[in-house]
Amino acid sequence: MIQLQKISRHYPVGFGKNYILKDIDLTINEGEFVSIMGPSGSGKSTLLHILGLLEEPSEGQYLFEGERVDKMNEKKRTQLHRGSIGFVFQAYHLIDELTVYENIETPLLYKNIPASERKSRVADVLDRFNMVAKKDLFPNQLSGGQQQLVGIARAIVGEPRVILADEPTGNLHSDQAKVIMQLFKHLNEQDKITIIQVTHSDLNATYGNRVIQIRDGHIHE
Amino acid sequence: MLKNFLLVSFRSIWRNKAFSVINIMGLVVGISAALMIYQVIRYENSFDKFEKNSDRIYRVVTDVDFNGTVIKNDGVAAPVAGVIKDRMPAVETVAPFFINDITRRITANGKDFKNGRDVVYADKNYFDIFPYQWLSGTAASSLREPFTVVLTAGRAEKYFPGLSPAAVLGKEIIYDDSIRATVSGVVADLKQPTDFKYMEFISLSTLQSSGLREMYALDYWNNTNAASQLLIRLHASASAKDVTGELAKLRETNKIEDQTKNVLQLQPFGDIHFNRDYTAEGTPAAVTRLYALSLVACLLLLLAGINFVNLTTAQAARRARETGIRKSLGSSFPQLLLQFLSETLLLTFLAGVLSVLLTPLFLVFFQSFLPKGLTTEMLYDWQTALFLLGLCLGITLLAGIYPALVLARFQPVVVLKTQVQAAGGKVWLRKTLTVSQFVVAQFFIIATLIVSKQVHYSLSRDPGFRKDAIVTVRTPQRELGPGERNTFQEKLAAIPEIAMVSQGGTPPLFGGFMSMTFRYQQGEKEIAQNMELRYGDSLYAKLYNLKIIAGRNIRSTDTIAEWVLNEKAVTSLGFRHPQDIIGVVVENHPVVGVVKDFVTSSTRKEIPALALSSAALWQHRTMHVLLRPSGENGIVWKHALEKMEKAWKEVYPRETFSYDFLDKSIAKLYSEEQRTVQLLNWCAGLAFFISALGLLGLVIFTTNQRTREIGIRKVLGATVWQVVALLTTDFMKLVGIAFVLAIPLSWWAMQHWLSSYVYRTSMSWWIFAIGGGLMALLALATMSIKTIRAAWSNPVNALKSE
Ligand SMILES: Nc1ncnc2c1ncn2[C@@H]1O[C@H](COP(=O)(O)OP(=O)(O)OP(=O)(O)O)[C@@H](O)[C@H]1O
Ligand SMILES: [Mg+2]
Repeated sequence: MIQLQKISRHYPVGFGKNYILKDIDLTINEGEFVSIMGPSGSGKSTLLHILGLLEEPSEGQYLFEGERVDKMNEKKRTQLHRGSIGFVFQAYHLIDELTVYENIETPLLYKNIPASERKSRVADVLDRFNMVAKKDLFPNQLSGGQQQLVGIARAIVGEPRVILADEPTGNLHSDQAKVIMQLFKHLNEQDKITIIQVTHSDLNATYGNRVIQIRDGHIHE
Repeated sequence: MLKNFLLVSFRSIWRNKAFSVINIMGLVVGISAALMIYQVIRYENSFDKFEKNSDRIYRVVTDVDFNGTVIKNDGVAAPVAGVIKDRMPAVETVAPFFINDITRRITANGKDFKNGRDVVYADKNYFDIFPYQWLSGTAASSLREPFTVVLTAGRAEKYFPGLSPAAVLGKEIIYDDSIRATVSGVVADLKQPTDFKYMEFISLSTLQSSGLREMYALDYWNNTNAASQLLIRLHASASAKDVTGELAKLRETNKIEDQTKNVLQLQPFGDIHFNRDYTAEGTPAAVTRLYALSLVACLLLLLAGINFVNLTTAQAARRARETGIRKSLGSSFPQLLLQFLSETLLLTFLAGVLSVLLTPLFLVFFQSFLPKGLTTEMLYDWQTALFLLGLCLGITLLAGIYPALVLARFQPVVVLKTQVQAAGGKVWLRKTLTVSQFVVAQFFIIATLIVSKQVHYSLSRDPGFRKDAIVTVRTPQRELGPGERNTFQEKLAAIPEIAMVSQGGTPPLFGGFMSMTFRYQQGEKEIAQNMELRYGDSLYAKLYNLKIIAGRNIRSTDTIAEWVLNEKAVTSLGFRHPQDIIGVVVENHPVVGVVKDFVTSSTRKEIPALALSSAALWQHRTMHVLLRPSGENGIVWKHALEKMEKAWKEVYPRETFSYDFLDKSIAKLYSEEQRTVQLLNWCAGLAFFISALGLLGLVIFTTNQRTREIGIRKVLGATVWQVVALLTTDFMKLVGIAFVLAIPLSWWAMQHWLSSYVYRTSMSWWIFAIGGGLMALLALATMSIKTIRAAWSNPVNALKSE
């Protein structure tokens, strides 16, 4: 499903380049549950952004379902964001002007899902995350952990084929983290959703079936 | 989706209250101005649209040949109507009518009324052009007989209060105690705007059967008078050009006995309300003024639009994150574009609604600038709604598209991943826009100053005659002989508060002109010189302090017997020294004196060659009264005026007394300029207001952005003023650039404006200096609203909150 060939990402430093990722070759098949690990600043988020089509690699080729991403037009990418990819940001990134409910509903709006179905789906995830009481609050009225939950809810509500989650449980209590991990596992096993998460926790990594380590711009399995 | 858009739009407008208020205030000013001017244009365009086939109606007008100078006259020689009727089958309706400008007193029901120039002599054809509704009488019969009159319902109610249209029939109305007319019909008043708002229609045949035939020159081809009007309606197949050509041909072939060089033209009916060449009747709309007003409205809208662009792109960083998130959730670029545009639309709509609510107030407030008949009625019809909708959409597109593009173009990675503040759009663009706003504001400020200076110059220049403490009183026009005038003059002269009384024509300086061609045989060549005329008795020159520099003053005579010329006239007739012309006979009368040049009209016109003469019989219809200085020996002008009125009542018991102070009449000559000053004042004020709002917005934005910096600087020992200077210098530079750009622009434009004045003020450098200083001061004051508070704030707060 996902194929990276000699992917590099670098930033200019002085007169040279500082490689964050160097010649990464990586294949992830449909239905896998992958955990990416590595020290801070090693490029985990960068890799995830590239996978999520939010950032362009400096070099190399990225094939999503066999199609070259760099050849895709804006429309096709939008299509993928609507249907195939759910992204959980490390920094939550909720829309400040929208309530919890509306934030979660937004991806469904872009997918043109009818109102009644939207309602039941949002209600469903709100229920699953125990957030029903908070549905009319705005992001700045939530704690960091609660915002993170909304971010995850927003990523899964559209039933994407791939979930890309950047430290989804970084701000959560270990019990809550466990619930999220079990949810991911469930989505992965029951619904065959591919999951790629960045995590610092070895425990979280055990929920997946594959671990990728990033160090010095290279990956090790 | 749309609901989601609107919701976000609304919340984001609400969250940025300061910026939204700034944007909306600017837009309200712009939209209200546009709305108001739209109403004015619509109103002016609605004139005389109700007549049937109005596109086939024409007014026959005359280019009067005046010794080679063509003067446009909206009247025709009276015989033209007959010729058209008899010989031009292409003309369907011929409706001649004569404005009754001779009658002074109208007596109805035992009461006297004044003639308000709304009485005409007309026949049934007039009612074929104007679709009146007949309440009693008929179009066909009511005006057939001489000495009959048709009234509008309003006029009937004024003359015969309480009587029904049918009951008014048969009542008698007397014009100037001599013409007795019987009411033969009543028509409903016209509701629609028209320039033909006559209320009293005396049958045209009355003119034929009374002494008025001579007075209205019914048989003379060489008498073109604006009182003699002619409306025609062509057959659908006929063309105006053919009719004009035919008229010309008739004269060429001597089929008609017109000996003048006058040219008859057909003026399209729709042109009447907008053509200022014919000023005699009606109140034509000044098209250039409408253009100027529309331009002002567009400028104000533009300024408000600039505010929107600047404020939105300046704080794009905040909205950029939203773009990034939405793109990652599957929003397409057009969807984002639409979302940001819908936000602009919401904002403009809010402003539009506010404008509709406020415009009735503005209409009252700006009454003196607006046409008289304009009401708020038109504000609530579908045309206005449509205009407003179009306007809002237009503004949204013009002002909203650039910011929306900037906001929607952000790539997720830039705004989501890095913590770098994404700046929206180009900084130079914002600066350019701000500069152009202030160029406009600065231009208006300088223009206001220069126009005011010209008005001041016009009013304060030495006219070369006395103009203070002088009152003029016009005696009744149709007075029997000069005897009554003499009695009146004697009575006035006996009033202790009055120093001197002179009988004469117009004062030395007045709004119109009165002239005649003087022919003079200078050796071989004949000089034809247009000569401005003033009439007065022997006291006229003395009362007005006119300086006789050669020969002697004029003597009082009944008809013209001698001339006193001004210096201009002397040289234009070919004489070098004033002395030389004394005793020379010009136009049958000897020149007895030369008067120093004095001002005869507004600063727009050059001092003309002028002849002063005495002709008591026909020309001395005005009393020129010099009052003694008020306050001296307990003199109160009010008492003088009361005594004058008493004297008037003794001589003219049935006429109303009215008077004018000469200095006020002169000031009135510049009322147009005074209005321009007021209007420019408003333009300057509003343009500055909107621009200042934008400036304030940008200052608020940068100040908020630099809170931390301000805190650190203060901890390091910066004073309040240093901080204020830090925050304002950048913006003051923009204001400075605007000033520099505005100088040549306003210099050029005002040079052009001033060029229509023969006597004009100079554009001194200090006008520009004051304009620039004023602008700088106002800009600083505006910014201080935010900067001073920021500079005073406790640095610790600023740093802790980070
Ligand atoms: N715009 C940029 N310019 C230069 N360097 C950058 C830029 N953006 C990111 N980097 C660098 O790229 C590296 C990788 O960043 P990334 O966010 O991917 O790390 P991470 O592995 O997710 O770390 P963490 O565990 O702290 O989230 C960092 O060293 C960062 O300094
Ligand atoms: Mg990271």
